[in-house]
Amino acid sequence: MAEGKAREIIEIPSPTIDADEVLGALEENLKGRAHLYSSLKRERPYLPTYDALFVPEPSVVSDALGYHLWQVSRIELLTKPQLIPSSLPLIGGLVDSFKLLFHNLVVFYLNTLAAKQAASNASLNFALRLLAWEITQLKDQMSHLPERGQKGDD
Amino acid sequence: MTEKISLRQVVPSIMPGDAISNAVFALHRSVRARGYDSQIFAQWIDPSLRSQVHSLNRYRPSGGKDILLYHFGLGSELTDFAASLRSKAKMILFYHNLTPAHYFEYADPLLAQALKKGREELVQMAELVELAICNSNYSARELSEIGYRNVVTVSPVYMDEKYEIPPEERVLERFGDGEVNLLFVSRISPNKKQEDVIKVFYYYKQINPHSRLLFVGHRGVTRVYYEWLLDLIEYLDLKDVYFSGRVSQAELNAYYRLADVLVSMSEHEGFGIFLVESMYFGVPIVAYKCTAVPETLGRAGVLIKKKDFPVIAEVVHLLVSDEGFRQAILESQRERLKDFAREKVEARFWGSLAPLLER
Repeated sequence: MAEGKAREIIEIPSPTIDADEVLGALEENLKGRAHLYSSLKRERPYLPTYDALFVPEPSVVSDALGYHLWQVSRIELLTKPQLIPSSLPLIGGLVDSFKLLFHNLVVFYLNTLAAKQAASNASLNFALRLLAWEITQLKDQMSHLPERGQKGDD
Repeated sequence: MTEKISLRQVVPSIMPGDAISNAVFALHRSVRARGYDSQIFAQWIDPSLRSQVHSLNRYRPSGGKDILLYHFGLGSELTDFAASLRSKAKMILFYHNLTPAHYFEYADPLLAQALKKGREELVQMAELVELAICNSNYSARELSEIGYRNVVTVSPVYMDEKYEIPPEERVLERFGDGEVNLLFVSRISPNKKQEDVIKVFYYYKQINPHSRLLFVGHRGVTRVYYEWLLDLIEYLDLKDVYFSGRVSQAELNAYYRLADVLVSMSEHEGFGIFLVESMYFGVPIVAYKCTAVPETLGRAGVLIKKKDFPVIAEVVHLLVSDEGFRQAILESQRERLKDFAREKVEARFWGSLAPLLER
C-alpha cells in the first residue's frame, strides 16, 4: 500500500480502479526520480505565482529575489512596425512611407530612453544582489550566535 | 386558440466558440425543435452571427406569453434592462457563475469591477426571477445562499453535431508527429492558472523530453497575464509550449484528437465544459479539485487535491505510459459522459421549464 505523499495529493474517484496500486506505482516512480527532482529544485528554487507578484508571502521572499532580479533586468522594445496599410487610392503608398518614417523616428528616441532604463535596471539589479549577499552573510553569522551563548552558560 | 409561447434569450455578447454562446444556441435549437418560438438578443454580436441574433435595441415585448431567459455571467446594464421587463415576461436567470473579482485586480481592473458589480446585481435579481437555472450544484448553492428560491441545475452542454466536424488538417499535421501532447482548453486567465500547468509541464518535460504543451483558447483582453506566462516559460527555459489563440470548432476538435492528457489546474470553474469535451474525445483528465470540477467529473478522471508539481507530472506520465491505467480512467470517463447525453440534458431543461409553460 502506498503511504507517501501521493495519497495526500491524488484522488481517483472511480471505485473500479485500484487506487492503492496506482498510488504505489506513483510512489515508486517518485522515488526513482528523487535525484532529478531535487536537482531541479536546486536549479529553480522558486516557481513564481502570478498572485504572489502583488502579495508576496514572507516565506518565499528570499527565493523570489532571484526571479524578480531576473525580471527587472529585462527590457524589451517593440521595434517591428505594426502599421495598418492605408486604403487611400494613389497616395496610399506615400502615406504608408510617411507612417514608417514616423515610426522609425519614434523608435529611435524610445530606444535611447530604453537603453538608459536598461542601464539603470542593471545597476539596481547589481545593488540588490549585493544587498542579498550581505543579508546571507549576516544570517550566517547570526545562526552561530545562540551556539556561542549556550557555550557561555556552560 | 392558445397564445404562442416565445422564449427570448438575452445575453451581453455572443460569439462563435464561446461557452455561454454555445449554451444559448443549444437551447435555441432545442426550443425550436419543440415547436416554440425562440429568439436571441444580444448587446454585442459577432459579425458572423448577425443573421441569427437580434440586436438588443430591437427587443419589443410581444404582449403574449414571453419567457425571458437572461444569461448571467458578468455585471452589465442588461440587468436593469431585464428588470424593467419584469411585468411583461416571466423571468428566468441562467447563472453561468461569476469568477471571483480578486483574480483580475491587477491583470484586468475593468473586468474585476464588472465582476464585483455582477455580484451585487445577482443579489438584486433574486427577487425578480421565477426560476434560476445553474450549470452545477456548486453554482446553485451560491444562489440559494443569497436568497434564490426556485433553483435547478441543468448541465450547459450536451454532445451535438459540432463535435463531429472533421478536425482541422493543418493542426493535425503540425502537432501529430508522435510527441506526447498535454492540453488545456480555456481562455488565458489568472483564475484558470495556466501558470501551474506550465509548472507541471516543466517537470514532465524532464521525464519525457518528447512532449509539448498546448494551450487552446483566446489570449484574454488585456494580455497582461498572457505576457507574464511568456516570461515564466522563458525563465524556466521551456521549449515546446504553444498558445493557439481563438480557434474554430474544427481546430478545437483537432486539438482534442491530438491530446494525450488534459491537465487542468484551474481554481475556479462554474462547470468546466472542457472536462466533458475531453470525455467525449477520449482524453484522460487530470484536474485540480476545486469549485464545480469534482461534480462535473463525478467518478471519472484523476483529481488533484494539492498542487505538488512533481507528483502531478508523475500522474501524467503514468497516464501516458501505463495502458491499463489509461484505459481504466477512460472507461470511468465514458461512463460519466452518458450523463451528458442530449436526451438527458434536454429532459432536465424541459422538466424545469414545464411549470412556467403551463401557467
